[in-house]
Amino acid sequence: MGESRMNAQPDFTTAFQDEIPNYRAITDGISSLSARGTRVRVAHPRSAWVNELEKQFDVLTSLRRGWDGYAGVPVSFTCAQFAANLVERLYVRSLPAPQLVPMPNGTMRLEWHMNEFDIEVDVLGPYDVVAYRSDLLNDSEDEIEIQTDFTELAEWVAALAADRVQLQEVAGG
Amino acid sequence: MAVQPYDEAEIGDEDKIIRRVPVHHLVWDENGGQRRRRISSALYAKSTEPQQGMSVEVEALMLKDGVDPAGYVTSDEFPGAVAFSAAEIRALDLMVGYDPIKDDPVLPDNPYHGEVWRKTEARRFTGAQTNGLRDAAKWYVQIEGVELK
Repeated sequence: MGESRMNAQPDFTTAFQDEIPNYRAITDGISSLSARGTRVRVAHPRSAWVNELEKQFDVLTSLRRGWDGYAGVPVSFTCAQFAANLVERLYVRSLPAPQLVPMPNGTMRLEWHMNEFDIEVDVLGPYDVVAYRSDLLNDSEDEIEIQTDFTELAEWVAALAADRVQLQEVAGG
Repeated sequence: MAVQPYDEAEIGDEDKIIRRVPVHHLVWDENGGQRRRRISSALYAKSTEPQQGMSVEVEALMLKDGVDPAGYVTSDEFPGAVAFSAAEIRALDLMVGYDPIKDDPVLPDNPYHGEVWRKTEARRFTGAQTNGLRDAAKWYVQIEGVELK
């Protein structure tokens, strides 16, 4: 597929995206796994999470320099755009949207703290992600650096929806 | 030009090193069966530029100038602050030094500004360093209804 054709794809639009020259949304799947042998491409991705977070993305990309009391800069449009697409691809209907946390250097983080998991996803730039998971029930921690294959991260997010506390209580009698 | 990372000998081990807490670094945590507001570990991250660190203020410099530190480091945008001792920072294999802000086109002068740096160039603090800072942090200016971790 040529670059011009990809650029022509009508993807969701938010204010933070409008500033990006030659914007191209992620239309490929985020996973190396194929679901029932297909790869889902969504021409107009617009999950409830992205709808809910749109204003927050705009806020984070509009922060003034020094927002953190030091030399913090606003979240870059490029970083926010990739994060928004990642949020779209990680969407699980039964889960709340991640919390968005700006970092002083213009990158940003997605956070969930629920179901006895802490998941923190540092979006350092397009295809440059570091994710951490702390499992409070099993007292274990994991960290993954991700460039292209977001399968494991998608599995982490899906696990947030499992009723693991009740399962553990049942297993433990 | 940015200050090269170094460990400032004038900063004593017992000196308090202050880190402002912006409202954007407060998150909701539903673990433990109770929804509560707390500080994100993002507060304890360094800049991803290899030689840059984590911004702080050195309390002793403010006291020496007769400046009220609690008032100096807070505003509506960053309503709280935490502090560590320099010894706690150094115990994490980190360095702390002066990095005053002066004549920046946007930022106000801050002669009390310092940085916490890694000893080796890297994009991030290690997990142990981030967790260590979080565990060592104590409220300097507490935000009502917000927990440290």
